[in-house]
Amino acid sequence: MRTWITGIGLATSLGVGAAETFRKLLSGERGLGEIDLFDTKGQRATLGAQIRGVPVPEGDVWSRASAFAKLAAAEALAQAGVDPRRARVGLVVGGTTAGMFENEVDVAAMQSGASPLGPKGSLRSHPLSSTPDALDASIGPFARLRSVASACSSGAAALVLARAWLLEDETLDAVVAGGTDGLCRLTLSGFNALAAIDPEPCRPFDRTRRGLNLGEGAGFLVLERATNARRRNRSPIAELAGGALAAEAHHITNPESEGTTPARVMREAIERAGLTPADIDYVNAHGTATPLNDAMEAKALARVLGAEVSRVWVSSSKAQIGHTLAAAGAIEAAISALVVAEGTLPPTVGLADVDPACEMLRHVRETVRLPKVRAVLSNSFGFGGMDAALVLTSPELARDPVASRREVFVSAASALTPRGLGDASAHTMGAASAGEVPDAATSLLETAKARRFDRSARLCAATAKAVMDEAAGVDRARCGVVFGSAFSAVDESAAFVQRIFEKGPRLASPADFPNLVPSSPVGHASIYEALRGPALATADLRASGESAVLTALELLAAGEADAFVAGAVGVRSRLIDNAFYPLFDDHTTAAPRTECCAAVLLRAGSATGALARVAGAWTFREGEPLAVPPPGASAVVIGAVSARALAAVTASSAWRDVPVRTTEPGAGSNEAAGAVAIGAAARAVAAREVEQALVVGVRSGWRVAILLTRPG
Amino acid sequence: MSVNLRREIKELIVSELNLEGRDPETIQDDAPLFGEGLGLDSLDALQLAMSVEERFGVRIPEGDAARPIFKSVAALAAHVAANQTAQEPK
Repeated sequence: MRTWITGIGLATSLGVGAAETFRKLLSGERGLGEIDLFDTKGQRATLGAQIRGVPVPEGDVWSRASAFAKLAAAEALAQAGVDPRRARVGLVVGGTTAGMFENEVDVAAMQSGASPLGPKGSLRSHPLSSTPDALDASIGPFARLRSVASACSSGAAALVLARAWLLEDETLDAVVAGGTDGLCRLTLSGFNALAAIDPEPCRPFDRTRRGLNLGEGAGFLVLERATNARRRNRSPIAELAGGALAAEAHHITNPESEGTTPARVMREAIERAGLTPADIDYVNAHGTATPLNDAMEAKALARVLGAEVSRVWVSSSKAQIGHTLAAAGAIEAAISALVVAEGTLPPTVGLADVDPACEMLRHVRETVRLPKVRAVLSNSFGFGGMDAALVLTSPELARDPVASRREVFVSAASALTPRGLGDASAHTMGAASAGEVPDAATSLLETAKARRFDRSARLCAATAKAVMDEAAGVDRARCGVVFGSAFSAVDESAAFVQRIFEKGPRLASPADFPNLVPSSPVGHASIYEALRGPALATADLRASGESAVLTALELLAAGEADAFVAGAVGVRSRLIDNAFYPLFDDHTTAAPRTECCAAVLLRAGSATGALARVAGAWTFREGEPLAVPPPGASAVVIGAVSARALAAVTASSAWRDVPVRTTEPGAGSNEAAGAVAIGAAARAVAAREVEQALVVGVRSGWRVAILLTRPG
Repeated sequence: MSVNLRREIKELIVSELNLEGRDPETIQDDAPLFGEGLGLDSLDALQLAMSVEERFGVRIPEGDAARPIFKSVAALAAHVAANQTAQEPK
C-alpha cells in the first residue's frame, strides 16, 4: 500500500494556513513574542510562539487547542477535496493539553475548595478526547476517532497510527491525522521549572543555546491510499513512505545521551520506506535548542546517515514557530511534505555559532533551493523517551511496503481493582468493595525504581509487570506499551497549578511536572519494564481501555511492534469522582466509580502460551448495527458497563440471544474497566467456558466490539 | 555551621526526592549527592533547588554555578547559611 498525502493544514504563530506558514518559514521570520494569553508574572521566561486572533467556537466542548485543530484539519480536508459527509474518513488527534488553558483555573479552585466541586459544563473541553469529539461534530462525521498522546512526538504517532488504519481497514477512504496543543499556565510553568526555556529567542544547534521557546498550534494531513487518490484524479503533495515509533526506556525527562533509540527509529523509518540514507536529502530535526536534545540528535543523525551526513541538509523549525509539543510532529511532517513538493528547505533561524557537538551536520543556514528533494526525514522525541521518525518522499521514489498479516493473541491478562491484583477472571465475580486499589497490590514494585511514580504510574507499572511476568519470551525491544486514560492526572495538575497561584511560578515543582504529561504513566511503565517498542497513551472517556487495545491491535497489524502491553488506568480522584465522571455520565453504569487499572499482553504471530486469539475488532456509532459475524455454538458478551447497556448493543444483531456478562460486580465502575473486560474475555476462552467472547465497549456516541476465540 | 541545618537538608532531600526507606542520618555530610553517591540526577537537582528556595528562601544559581553548591550536604548547608542572613525565608 502506498500512502499519499493529499491535503495539509497548519495553524502556527506564523499564520493560519499551510502556505502562509511555509512562506514565512522560508523567509526566516520568527513567530515569537511575549506570551499574554495569561498572567506570566514571576515566570522565568515569558517569550513564546502564541497564536493571536483565532476565535474559539461557542460551546463547552471547545478549547483553543481544538479550535486550532479544526482550522488545520478543515484546511487539509478542503485541499484534498475529501468530504467526511460523503466518504469514510478517520480522524486521529495527537494532543497533550486539550482544554488545560480553559480549565486549569477552575480545577485548581475546585480542588482547593475556592469553588464548588461538581460537573461544571465547561470541563467538557478538558479530556483529550474533546478535540476529536469537537471536530466530529463540526467538520465530521468521521468514520472512526482516536486520541493519542506520546508527549512531544504525539503528532508523529498520530500519523503512524493513521497509516496503520489505512493498512488494516480497507473500508476507510482517507484518514485526517495530526496534532494540536495550546499554551497554558501549566506547561509554561512546568518547562520553566525544568529550566528548559530560553528567555531569549531560541538557537537550535548553536553553541550558546539555552533551551526552547514554547509554541502552540496544530498540523493535520490527509492520508489516503494512492489507489484511492488516483481514482479521484488527485495528485499527492508527498508520500508518507515510512514511520517508526519506539521508547528509550531510560528517563522520564532526559534523553539518553547517545541517542540510541532516536537512531533506531530513524533507521527503521528509512528501512520501512524501502530506502537508504543515500535517498535522504533533508532532515527536519526535532531540534528543540535544549543543550541535551541537540547534541544527542546530532550524534544519532551522524550514526544513521554515516558518510551521507556531510551531504544531507538539516534544519529545525522550532526557532520560528516554537516547540508546539503534541502538534510538533505533525506540523513538522507537514513542513517536510511541503519541502518535498517545493524543493525549498527552510533554515535554522537563530543558529549563528554552530556547537562543536553539532558541527558534523550540514546545517541549512539560509534557505536552500534544490532541483529535486527525494526523501525527507522528520524527527520527534518526547518526554518518557517516546521517539518517532517519519520519512516523506517524492511519490515516484517510494517502494511498496510489505504488509504483514499476522494473527494477534492475548497472552496474559492482569487487573488491579479494590479487590487487589488479579488475573482479570476473578474480577467478573463476587461483590465489589468500594474505593481504592490496596497498597499491597503495588508493593511488589522496587522502591528506588518507582520513586518518581504518581499513583497512575504505580498502577500502570504494576499491571505491566504482572502481564510481562505471566508471559515468557517476549522481546522487550519489540514490545510496545499503551494505556488509556480518560482524564489524565487531573488532581495532580490542579495541585500543580494551585501551587503556582499560591507560591508563584518559581516554586512550581520540577519533579511533579513530567507526571502531568498524559503519556507519563506509560513512559514510567515502559522504563520500569524496559519495554522499547512504541509507547503511547489513548483517551476515550468510558472506552479508554478498549481504545488502547484497538490502538495496539492496529499498530501490531501494521508491523510497528511484535507485542504490546495494552490496558487502561483510572485512579481514585476527587475531581474525576465528583466532577468529570458525573459530567460524562451516559447512564451505562449503576455502580459508583472505583479505582481500576488493567492490561493484557498482545502478541502478533506467536501463539505461545496464548489465552485467546483476536478474531476481529469493530468501531461503530451508537445506533449502527453490530457487524460482528454470527456467534458459534458457545459464546458470551463481556463488557465493563451494565448488562442492560451491553444487551442494548447486541439487541438487533445475531448476538441478541448470547448471554451477557458485566465486569461491574467484580471490578466496579471505571472508565478504564474495558481493559478488565478484555482480560476477563480472554480468561473465559482460555478456561474453555466458551468458544467465543465478544468484548463490547460503550461510550457516548460510539461502540467498540472485539471478538476473541480459541487460539488453536 | 549548625548540625541542625545539615540534618534539615538531609530530611529535605529524602522527602522531596522520594528516597523512601532512606534514613536521612545515613547521608554523609561530605558524600557526593549526584551521579555516584546518592545516585541523584539533574531532575533531582532542579527539585532540590526549588525546595531549598521554598524552605530557606535561598536561591541556587542555575547551570554550572550550582555544581559546587550541590557537591555535598556540607556544601549546600554552607551556601544556605551564608545566604540566609541576606534573604529572609518566606
